[in-house]
Amino acid sequence: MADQELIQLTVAQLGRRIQRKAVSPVEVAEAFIERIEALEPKLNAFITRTFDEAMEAAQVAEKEIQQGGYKGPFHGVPIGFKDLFWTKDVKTTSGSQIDKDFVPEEDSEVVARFKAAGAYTIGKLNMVEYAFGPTGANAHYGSPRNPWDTERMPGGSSSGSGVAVAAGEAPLAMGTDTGGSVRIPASLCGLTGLKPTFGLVSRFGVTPLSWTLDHPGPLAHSAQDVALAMNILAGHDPRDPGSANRPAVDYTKDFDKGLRDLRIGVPRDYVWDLMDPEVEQSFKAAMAQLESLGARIEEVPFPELAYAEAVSSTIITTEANAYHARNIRTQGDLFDPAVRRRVEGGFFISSGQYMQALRVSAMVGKKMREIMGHVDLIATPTTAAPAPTIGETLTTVNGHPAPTRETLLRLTRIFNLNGPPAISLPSGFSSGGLPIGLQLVGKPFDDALVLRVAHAYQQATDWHVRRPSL
Amino acid sequence: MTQRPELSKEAFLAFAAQHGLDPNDPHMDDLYPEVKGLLQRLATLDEVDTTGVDPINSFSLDKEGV
Repeated sequence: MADQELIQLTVAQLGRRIQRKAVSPVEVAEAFIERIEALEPKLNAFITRTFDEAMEAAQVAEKEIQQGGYKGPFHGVPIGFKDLFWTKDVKTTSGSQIDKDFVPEEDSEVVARFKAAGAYTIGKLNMVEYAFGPTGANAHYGSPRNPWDTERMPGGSSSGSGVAVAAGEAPLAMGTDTGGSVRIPASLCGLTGLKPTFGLVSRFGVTPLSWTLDHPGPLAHSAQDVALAMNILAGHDPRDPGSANRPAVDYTKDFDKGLRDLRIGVPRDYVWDLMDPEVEQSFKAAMAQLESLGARIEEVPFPELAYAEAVSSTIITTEANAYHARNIRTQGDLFDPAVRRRVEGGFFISSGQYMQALRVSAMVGKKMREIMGHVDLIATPTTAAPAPTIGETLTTVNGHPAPTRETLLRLTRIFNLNGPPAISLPSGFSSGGLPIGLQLVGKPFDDALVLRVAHAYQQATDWHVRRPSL
Repeated sequence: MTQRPELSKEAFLAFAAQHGLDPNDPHMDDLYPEVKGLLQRLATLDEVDTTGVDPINSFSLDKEGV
């Protein structure tokens, strides 16, 4: 069936078919809408569906392309947006009750850039309330379910983004990552998700969780699709005070350069203290694969990883509290109780503790600069275990119970400090059929190298082309 | 380094009230253990010697970074 084929394609594949008029944007829109309508009762990835606007945009794209105005690989392609990206005239709830009726008067920069590239919004995606949590749970809109096993959590906070792409409800979705919220759902849902270098992708029109740690980033089936998205997303935006002003880069241009003599560092500390054996096995196999492609793998000391939880929690909780304090005081009952408690924790963190966290963060940054003086990338598994069961607060890892949040966050959040690019890509499956993620971290603004290595790995493996049976 | 004393329930409620929260809200019974746990975890940073370290967060966007 044509529909079934279309919804499995990557953006690059869809774009090629649309460009050569083998398929029309309207047919693409219809296929994804049909898929969403069929699966949503089971998966719950969407908070708002924008099918009427999507069909209108697809018709416009079709006309433009027929008239010779093809804009590139995203022209006529539907995109899902985590529901904290402002969308003009379309409600943007941030996964909350408090903002359930908020309708922005303008698009976020991210949405505007996709529209300018000819893409359109297929819907607004479910998420953890105000992006504050890694499991994907949402008390107001219902928790999305992992397409690989609907009893499992998809990861968060960009939960709907992970579910929608993995299930073929959208070929690419946008998320935000403050402690791992793009990489964790990418890992648990078998996708490729990038936290770009801080400042590369504008945060204008994105509801903040933590001003200093928030990174908007794409989730897709392949590193190539993520690179294509970065080609339109990266760029200076004066409306974002953290936006970097740097020359444009083609994030796919070095894809054929190979990995000869590339140095990859694997931390010897902390990472392995809590690790599922199947994840560890998958990681070792991935390192062997990268070695066979020409990379050199070496252990690096990185004991500062152990500070990750305390530093990250202090900064995120303090900044989230600053943003939400007024609503917590006046409408606390409208928050998910778990999110409310996380936000309220910020009232009890002193300014001295916040500054100490920033100073330790600076120490971590210095250590990363030292490590990156010797290697080009750092590699770790993305999460310490595959997707936990929905609702569980303790997960068994290597025979020991561990807090589920810690299992998910412990290897991602440290790389939100100091802003380096970090990607998660599929590196295998557990014996239970759950995806396993590999994390690659680069030097700031070396996103192209991170994507190049991820692409090379995906040229040699087929983990990323597998799809859940739904 | 001197260890921080554990946050008592009384101190917690007084602090909550100072910040505009209702200390009589039943929700405080759930919040208290969570805050205690949070502060215990954050206390690990008290031991880190940051002498001479400036409290920066993100790297300078004008530089290549690392």
